[in-house]
Amino acid sequence: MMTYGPATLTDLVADGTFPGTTRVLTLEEGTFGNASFLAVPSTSGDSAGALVVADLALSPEQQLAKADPATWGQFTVLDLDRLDPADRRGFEQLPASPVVPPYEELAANAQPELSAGWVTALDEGWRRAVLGG
Amino acid sequence: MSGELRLTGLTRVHGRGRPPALDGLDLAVPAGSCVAVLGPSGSGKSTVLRLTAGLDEPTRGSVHLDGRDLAGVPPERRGVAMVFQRPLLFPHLSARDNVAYADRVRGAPRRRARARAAEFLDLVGLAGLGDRAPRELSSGQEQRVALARALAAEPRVLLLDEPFSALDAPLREEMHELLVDLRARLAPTVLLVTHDPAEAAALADTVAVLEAGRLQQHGPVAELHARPASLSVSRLLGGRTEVPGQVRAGVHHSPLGALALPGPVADGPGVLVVRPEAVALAAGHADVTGTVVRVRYRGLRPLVTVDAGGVAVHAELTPGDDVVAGAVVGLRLPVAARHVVPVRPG
Amino acid sequence: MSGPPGARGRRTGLLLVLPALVPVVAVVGAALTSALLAALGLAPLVGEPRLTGAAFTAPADQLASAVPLSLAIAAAATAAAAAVGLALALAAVATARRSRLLGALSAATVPVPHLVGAAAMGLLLADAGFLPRLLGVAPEDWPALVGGRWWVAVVAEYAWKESAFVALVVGGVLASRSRSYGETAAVLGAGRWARFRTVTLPLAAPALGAASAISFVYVLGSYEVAALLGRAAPEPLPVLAVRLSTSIDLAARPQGAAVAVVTAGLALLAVVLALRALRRLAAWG
Repeated sequence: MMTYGPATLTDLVADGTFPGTTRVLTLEEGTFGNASFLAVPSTSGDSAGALVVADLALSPEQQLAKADPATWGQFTVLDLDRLDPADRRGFEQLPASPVVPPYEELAANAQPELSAGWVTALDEGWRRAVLGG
Repeated sequence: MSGELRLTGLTRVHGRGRPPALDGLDLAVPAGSCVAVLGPSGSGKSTVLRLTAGLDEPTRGSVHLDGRDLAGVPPERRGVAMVFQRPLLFPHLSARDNVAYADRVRGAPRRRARARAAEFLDLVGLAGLGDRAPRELSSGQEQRVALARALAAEPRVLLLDEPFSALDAPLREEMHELLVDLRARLAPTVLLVTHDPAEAAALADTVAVLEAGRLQQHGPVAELHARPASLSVSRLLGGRTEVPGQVRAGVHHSPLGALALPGPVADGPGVLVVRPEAVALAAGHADVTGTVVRVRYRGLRPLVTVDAGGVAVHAELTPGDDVVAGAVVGLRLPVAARHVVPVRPG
Repeated sequence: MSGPPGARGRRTGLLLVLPALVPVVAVVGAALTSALLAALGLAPLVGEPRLTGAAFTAPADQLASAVPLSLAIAAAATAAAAAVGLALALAAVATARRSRLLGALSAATVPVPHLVGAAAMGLLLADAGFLPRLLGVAPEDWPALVGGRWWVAVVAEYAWKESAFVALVVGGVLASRSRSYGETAAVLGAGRWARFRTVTLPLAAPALGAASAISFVYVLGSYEVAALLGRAAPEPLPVLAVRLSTSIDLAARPQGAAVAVVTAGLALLAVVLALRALRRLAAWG
């Protein structure tokens, strides 16, 4: 299976959806990173409110809750080195998984996500060359 | 272009258990003659034409044209043409091309077919209107084109299915004149269907009266008028006076009294019929005396109903014979106009 | 008796169609106006309105393939629908008893939505669909009818659905006139083929032409069947318009509107040409 959220595998193995022998395959040639973005439309009627929500989503508390496999199991986008020691401890105390390798191992050799400007061009190339070829 | 048509035992039953629309019709139409089939609506007269044209198949009986049995011959190869009550001109063709239609489907070159069409349009009095579309013609003109179109097909028999009954009276008169002229010039064999005795009288050499699918009588119009074979024939031809009585030794006895008959008639019960136009006011001796109960007019002619001893006698008087309701009048029933219809057993 | 309708009759006629005309003009007018404004750069999502034809020139190469493709699909589907529809109508009027069954079948096809028809056609004609299974043909040996180079399933769906419409319209016209005119032609010596060629076909022509014109314009502007059963590239006009209009690139939206305007223009041209041809035919109808 392919997934954007490998951390959820811990729970999926625990509740028996996947067998205990489930392992994450890491690609030796490297991989594309993928992060979730929050954007505020330029025409938004309440950009100030939207920015407050974005700040909240990026707060250490919300990020920690999101990283908890019992909640969502998504790796955080925060740089742990720049956090308060108390907040950093929360992340460090997250349970290690028998299934999912740590973030450092998964992200080794990862390439940053493509610039958004490539998306339509890639779509178009796929449509013409592959589907219409 | 005129052939001889003979119908033998022609029968058409439209569905099991239903009365035949046409029942054993025998009818001969000599070459060049015009025979009218006269009957009320539903009498089967249109069926006669459809069977003759091959638009419908007879249940029994046969259609012979110039001695050839037409059983199984499709309409387009029968050599008949038909004019319907509606003109049915092809709306996408000009009047000329409508008339040229028969020639064109037989493969004649367009130029020749159109030249002939122009001649036939001329024949029906529509010279110069060939370029008109059907919707640009009056209803009388349309029916003339339809007639020209049928004649241009050079049929051996021309079938006319109430062709003028949708026209108003003056136009109908014109069309009758036209048809009489055409008969004089082209002598086509014509089988005409109509419900109008005046039309039959105006156009046909002989008239075949049809009722409920059965032929009642066939003969010259004058004969049908003078000696109808049945009360229904008499009524269909406009006869109104009907006096039940007994015939004894050539004399009809009834509440009207004893009236001598023109020819030998078998003794027994019989209905005396006298056509209204034969009845006249008596100058001297009256055959019948009675009270006028109703007067109405057809043009200048008074149509009078006289009650004579409980029997209604109808008379169509000459203009100027003005009588009023309530008057007692004497009527003359000319001996030659008296005719007795046998009472049908049962 | 049948004089030309006077100005008074024309005015009454106009009043009678007004309730139907007003909403159509309002909806179509509003849609076309907003599409035209967007296409001309006068209603940008961001930035200042500026009159420009860029939205028309930018997708020029895509338009160059979409226009002929759309015209070809519409022409093929309409030709097939007209032929099948005419045949259905003729069969329906040939015998009164069979006509009820055929009429019911045609009438039942008309209300089926095109999307349902497209899904059914896909299930029927795809390489793993019902038809290859029924015929025992392996998927790899089955021609690419769905999503293939020749747009067979798309044309088939439109032809199937529009043929019912054509049959209904033409059958209605023929039912009232073909029999009496056919008999007239027969007694004038026209055989079966001559009657068809010289009477039935000309009688059916105005209705057939009108129904075909409606079908053509409909297929030209219809999206869902081509999107579902068609090939991803090249695209017909409506699919191109929808893709550009929903692109994540906001700058492509005016191009989507421009393609929609071109489609509407083509449809309008087709209607004008059809009306001109029909006026000649209907001069006697």
